[in-house]
Amino acid sequence: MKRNGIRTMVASGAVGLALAGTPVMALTEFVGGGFLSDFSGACAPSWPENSVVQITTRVRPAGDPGNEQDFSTVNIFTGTLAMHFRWRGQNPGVWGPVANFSAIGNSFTSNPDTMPRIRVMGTPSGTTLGSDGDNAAHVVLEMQHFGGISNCNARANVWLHRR
Amino acid sequence: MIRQILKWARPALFFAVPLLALGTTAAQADFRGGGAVFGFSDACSAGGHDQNAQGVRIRYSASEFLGNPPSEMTVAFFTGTEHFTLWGPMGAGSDFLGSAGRQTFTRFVFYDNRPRMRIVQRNITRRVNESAPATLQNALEIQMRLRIQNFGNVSGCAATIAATLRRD
Repeated sequence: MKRNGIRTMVASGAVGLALAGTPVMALTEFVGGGFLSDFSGACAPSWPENSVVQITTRVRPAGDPGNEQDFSTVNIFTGTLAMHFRWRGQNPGVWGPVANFSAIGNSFTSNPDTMPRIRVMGTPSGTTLGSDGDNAAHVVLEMQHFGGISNCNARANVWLHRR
Repeated sequence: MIRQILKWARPALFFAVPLLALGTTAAQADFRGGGAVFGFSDACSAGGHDQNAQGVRIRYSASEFLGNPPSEMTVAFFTGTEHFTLWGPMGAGSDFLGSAGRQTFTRFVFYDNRPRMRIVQRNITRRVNESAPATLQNALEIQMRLRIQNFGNVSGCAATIAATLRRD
């Protein structure tokens, strides 16, 4: 069975069954926030190397009720910039290209020549408790060609809860 | 061309983001990041907080770093901010501790009812020096989970805050 990265982490197992008894919801969506860090390569001056950028995040995992079957979407909001990644999830640790990328800040970028790549680095436990079930996840991602900037690497660290 | 514009524009983020937090001077050891607020009790509906989980940005100033209390936590929603002050460290425990709350949405409010917070978890997820002990002083990234009663200045409203944070 094909496993999608985000889905594997956020909604592994019997999420479909778990959802069956919840109120009507057209989409399966997780919201939360965290930070961007570990900028390296050609990120500067857009993203200085040692900066920590606070973000809020929305994730719609592939294959969950109401969502696309094969593509997860990840939105990152810095407050003055919004980014959209549509991504065919991979197993943790495996790089996968982003199928669609857009960013809107003071200008608009869509599907740049160098498309970002994403891999899931881990799902730290500790603050996701058993009582959360499949409703919460702490996710760490690494990204290449971040924001469509060639050879800019970055890391996203987010805590998400089902909306 | 677009890339050139973005290069010009993005540094603006680094002025805008810190302004969202209450402290505008350079902090020695604050943790910044974000997470989710969820698990609202029924009473919270009186406070205008949606029952759904919400993504937030969070700033946490640990009393341990400054050598004296208080610990402070700023929780920034899209339309306003909650701010909590605890006279002591925010170490994990099973007790609900009395703190002070301030809120700014459409106006400034000093909480009428003392918010009580339980720090359910405070874990170090990444160290500054990997070979040194996992002390807060050596913490680069942490995750936190808190349960707060009287959240949002609504008596009886309880909510959970979970966050992932990095030292700046």
